[in-house]
Amino acid sequence: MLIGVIFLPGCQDQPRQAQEQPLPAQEVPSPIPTPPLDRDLSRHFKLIQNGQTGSARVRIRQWLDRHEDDSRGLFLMGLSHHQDKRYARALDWLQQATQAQPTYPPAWHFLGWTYFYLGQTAQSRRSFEHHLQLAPAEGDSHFALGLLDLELWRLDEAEVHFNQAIKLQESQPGRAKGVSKAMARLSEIIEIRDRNQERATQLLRRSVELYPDHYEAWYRLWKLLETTADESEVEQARLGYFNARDRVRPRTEFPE
Amino acid sequence: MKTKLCLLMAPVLLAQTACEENAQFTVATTEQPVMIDLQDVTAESGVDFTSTSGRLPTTEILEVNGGGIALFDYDRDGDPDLFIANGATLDSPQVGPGSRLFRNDSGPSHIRFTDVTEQAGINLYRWAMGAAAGDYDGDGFIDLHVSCWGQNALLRNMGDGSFKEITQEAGLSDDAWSTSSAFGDIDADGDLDLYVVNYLQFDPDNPPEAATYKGQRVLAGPHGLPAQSDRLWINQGDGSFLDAVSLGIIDPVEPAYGLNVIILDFDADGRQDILVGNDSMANALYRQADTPEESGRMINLGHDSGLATNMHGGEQATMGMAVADLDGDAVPELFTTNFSADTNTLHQSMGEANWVDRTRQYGLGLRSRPWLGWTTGFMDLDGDEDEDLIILNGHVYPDATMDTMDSNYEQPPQVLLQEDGRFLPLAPKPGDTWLGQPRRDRAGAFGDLDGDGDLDLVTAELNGPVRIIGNFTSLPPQRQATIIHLLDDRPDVQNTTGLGASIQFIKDENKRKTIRWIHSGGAFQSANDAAAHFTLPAATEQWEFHVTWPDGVITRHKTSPAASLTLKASEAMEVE
Repeated sequence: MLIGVIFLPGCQDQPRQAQEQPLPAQEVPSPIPTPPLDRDLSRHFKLIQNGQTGSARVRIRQWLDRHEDDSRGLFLMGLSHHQDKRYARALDWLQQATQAQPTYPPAWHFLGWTYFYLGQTAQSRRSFEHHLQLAPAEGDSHFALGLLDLELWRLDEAEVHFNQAIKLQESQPGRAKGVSKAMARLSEIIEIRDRNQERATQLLRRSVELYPDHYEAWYRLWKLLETTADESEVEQARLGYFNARDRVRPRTEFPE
Repeated sequence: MKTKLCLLMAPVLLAQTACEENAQFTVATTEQPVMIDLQDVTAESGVDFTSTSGRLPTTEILEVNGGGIALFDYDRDGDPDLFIANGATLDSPQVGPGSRLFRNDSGPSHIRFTDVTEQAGINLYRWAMGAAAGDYDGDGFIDLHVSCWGQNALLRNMGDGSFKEITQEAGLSDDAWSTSSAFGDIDADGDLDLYVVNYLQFDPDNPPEAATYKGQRVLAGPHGLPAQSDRLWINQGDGSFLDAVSLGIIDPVEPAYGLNVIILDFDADGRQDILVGNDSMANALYRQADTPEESGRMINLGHDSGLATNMHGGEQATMGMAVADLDGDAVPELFTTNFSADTNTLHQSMGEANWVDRTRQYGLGLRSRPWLGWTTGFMDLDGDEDEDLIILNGHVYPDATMDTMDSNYEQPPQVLLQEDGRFLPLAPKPGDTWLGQPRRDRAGAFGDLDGDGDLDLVTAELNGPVRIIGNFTSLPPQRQATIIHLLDDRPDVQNTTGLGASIQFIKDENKRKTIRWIHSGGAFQSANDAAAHFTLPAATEQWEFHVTWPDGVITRHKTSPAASLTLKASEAMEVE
């Protein structure tokens, strides 16, 4: 999940916010700065990152007692539930965050993903589009819009968004996973619409290179190579899938 | 009192995708509006039955599935009768209140059943789960196989209105937890073999520790519990079955959390295949081997079929399975229902025993995430020639709410109408008592209960009522709904109802075709009536059908339009 949209100075391994490396002005409008987290909220955010979401919520609630209706606190409450994959619960907080400060970009972004995972595609689209108005250089929102277009089987529109997601994130440090995911989805379009297996395979190879845990990309690479490549390449992709899947999603978990 | 559900299909074409995305409950259209009319007629049907599967709230995985439904014409009077597989409780898992048989006494304008369990001699009090129907002994009377936690049951239809359990005599010894089963002629010898799907080892006296899902304590399983192996039984033609492993027809099946099975010719090679739906594990497609040295053997294609997982390699729960030809290539597409927070999946045939996940192309993906689906079925509800979908839903965890698990415990069924290759949800009207109502639905079976040519539905709610849902949709005058049964009366054929056959309606002189399959399995733990449903041109003197029987023989039939037809092999015009 994208944490990079949150401005968090000094957060190791975290990508900088998008507006730190804006694209040329002719390509995107000027972004709206994201209010930085204060020292307390930064600590709570780290708890969320470390999976200590319950502890984070206790502290954020205390913080919110002192800073009622502060969009950053409301957002982090929502983010903590989002991290737990409890999207309906996250929804309420993220809605509050966007209402408290309609120009707070991260809240819109995660509101978009929350609606997405709840299957509410129209609301998800509106949230991501709103986010891009506030933070035009955020590739992950383009990625999400690409997925939503795929759901509607609007392949041309999805392609535009995936390409934009790749372009924006390639220029940012720490966004290899985002680029990988967008490439994998773009490859679906190339394979299905264009029937260009060679180009689709290239994209998938690059995708798993950038993010070796991307078992979905490994799986599709395996299936594609079965029709075009020699046995050793197929076997390598097959093993890549099973190994990545076992790393990412142990067999003890439900599919979701 | 009859509860009525009338759903007006607005004559508005949803051509713009933006409209579709905003339409949570928008309807599709035809050129002429059709009133989809599905009514809960349970109260006046004579079926007053509450199923048993443990108690509420559910605490163990054994209680989750509920019992299955079989619609089959046991008395050969032309209409499907109703068998209900019933469970037991954890404090008395070996002896429950018993399964029931209801005779269909419906007429042209009403649906009516009579409980005939006692007079039919059905004494099945074990924890029953699934039901499969097939004439295994070729006497023309359809028999029943009931999957149970513990010893399964083969109930032979004696032809006089009674059944006799012959499980032991038939050699069907299996005391695993069997969820589903299906009949099909796997070895192409003219009689019906049997595939039994097994789930996992569960001991009520030593229940497993609770698990965690989305931070909530939930009942354990399937992960963490020992999976069990399925069994394929080969009919010897003398009333007995032998394990296919011992006959070298199949290798021992890898243990898996099996929930569902369909037997039909999936790859259109003229031979019967077996598709097994496994819970959170890869599905299996057993296909007849191609090589001469392996002739007669069933080989699991695994991931090579494309049906094992979704397009991203995700192993899904696969409770419900339904097949239909959505793209006109006469090879079945597969629709499966899955767990919440996952999506349902539509696999499209690409030919050569290969399927690809095209869920999104058909609009069946993201919007299914809040639902946990069970029985599902295709049918042309609105008479526009394409197949629509019905899905029964309900979560397994009693504590499931949108707040805790992004999915409610009780969920409404869904009707999805296909329009221009996309499935759109049909809106329940205010006051609907079936479509809009959240329930703990599980099993269900489709069949024409009242002989009007369309498919009605019987549903089984977990520890709740069995419901009779009548389909009273009026098609436009130019369309005629019809139900077609097969009768294979050729010598030496024991599969008399043609399980595994396909029926093609020949549309015009260009030989354009619409195809349906007669198959066993698919509806979760249940058996649909072995019939094909079409909506066809009414203003036609004759309809032409081609039947491909399970042995590959093709027969040609011409009939006058009617709501109910039986195509007999012996009365075919030509045999190819």
